[in-house]
Amino acid sequence: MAKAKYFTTFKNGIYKENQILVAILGICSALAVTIQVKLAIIMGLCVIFVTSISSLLVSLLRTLTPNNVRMLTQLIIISTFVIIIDQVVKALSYEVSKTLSVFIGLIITNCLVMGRSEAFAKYNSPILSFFDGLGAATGYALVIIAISIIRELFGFGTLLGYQIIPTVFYATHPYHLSRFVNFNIMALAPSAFFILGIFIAIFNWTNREKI
Amino acid sequence: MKKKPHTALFMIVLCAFAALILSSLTDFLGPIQKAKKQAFTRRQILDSASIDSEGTTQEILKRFETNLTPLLVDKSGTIMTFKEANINEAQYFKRYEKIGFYKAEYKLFYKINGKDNSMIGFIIPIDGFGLWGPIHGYLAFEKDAITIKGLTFYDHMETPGLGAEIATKKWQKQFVNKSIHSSSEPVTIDSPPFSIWVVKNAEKMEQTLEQKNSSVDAITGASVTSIGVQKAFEVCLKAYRPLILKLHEQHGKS
Repeated sequence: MAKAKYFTTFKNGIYKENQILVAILGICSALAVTIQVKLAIIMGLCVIFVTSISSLLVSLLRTLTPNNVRMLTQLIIISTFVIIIDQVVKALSYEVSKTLSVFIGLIITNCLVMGRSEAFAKYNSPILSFFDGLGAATGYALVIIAISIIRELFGFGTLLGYQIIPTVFYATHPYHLSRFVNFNIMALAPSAFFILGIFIAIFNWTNREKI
Repeated sequence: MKKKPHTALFMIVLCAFAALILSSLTDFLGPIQKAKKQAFTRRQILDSASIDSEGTTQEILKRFETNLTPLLVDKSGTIMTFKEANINEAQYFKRYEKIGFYKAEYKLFYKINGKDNSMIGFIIPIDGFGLWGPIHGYLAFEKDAITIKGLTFYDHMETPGLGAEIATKKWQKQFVNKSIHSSSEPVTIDSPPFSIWVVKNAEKMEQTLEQKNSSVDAITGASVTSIGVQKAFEVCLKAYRPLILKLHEQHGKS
């Protein structure tokens, strides 16, 4: 019985209550890190870690936390874990941390993490909150990975750094200028907005009867 | 209902706990992070000189020490070690890493060691500004001091997909075997300023063979970055001119 509840909470976070597509939370980072699939995957993993663990801790402390400082408590917990993950990434790979450091720091202000703490973990048991955080962050990770696949494929012709669109398709020679050229806009932040907008439209269209 | 603890007490305990975890973690990971960062920079320097830069952190640090020797050069072209110039190496690097080594009175360069410790080339740091921020890299020369052996840019903030192309191997490869002296006249003290021209369509431009041998293709859609790279070349090569002239005189003719 309990197991089913955990699973439903987790599943809802991924699809039915997807934080980006439904709640429109955590968009800022969705724009910034979706330029390469690799960055999106690492960012997704970091957010999954931070959200699930901090939801668990906020929920554990929920009976102890004085009501007037509950936001501060959540922030302290979240930022502690963000700094931990930032330090660990720095120790693992300097190159990755150089591109991601700013964005990892910004997980603290990612509305998603605090949103889950404030809306769910405050009222529910620790394990249930953990699964809620896990589901919400996984949903977030899946969406940003999907956006990054589109952006990297059309913006650079690669996926995870491997060339996908064959180089012979490219307009490299004046004789065949009508061939494929990388979309420069995909390399820039606005494209993430457009793709995200299309995703939300498709999501709302498929769920129009249920809403 | 359970009585909640006092607000101030709760916050103090929570903050102290978080601070304790974080400070012990930083203490533990600090040396590892420092070594990784150092290995990253050294790998870039080795890369610019086309020395094998694969391997673990320890291997790289060792290979760096056997192949390269850091030296200093002053305004008149006199070469000295850190010890001879009486400069603290760590402080020197800390001070000039961000603002650019070419601004220092004693400028840094790396000697590439061949057999019997003879010089087979040298590396100078190259620093400039792109569209969004500073660009840092290393430029390696052959023994004759005017032919480029290799180039890397390891730190930049350029637009991904456009200006950031400067950090790709593909773009940097163009510089190999180019000459910084764009004239058929021999190099003398009165030679025109050394540089590399970052231009559109370097191959098709109507220019002399010598000029062609000093030009590389700019990046489409990243004019400011390309101009920034050329500026960086001009400024740094001007600062290192005494060294280049001296080494060219010593080794260039052979």
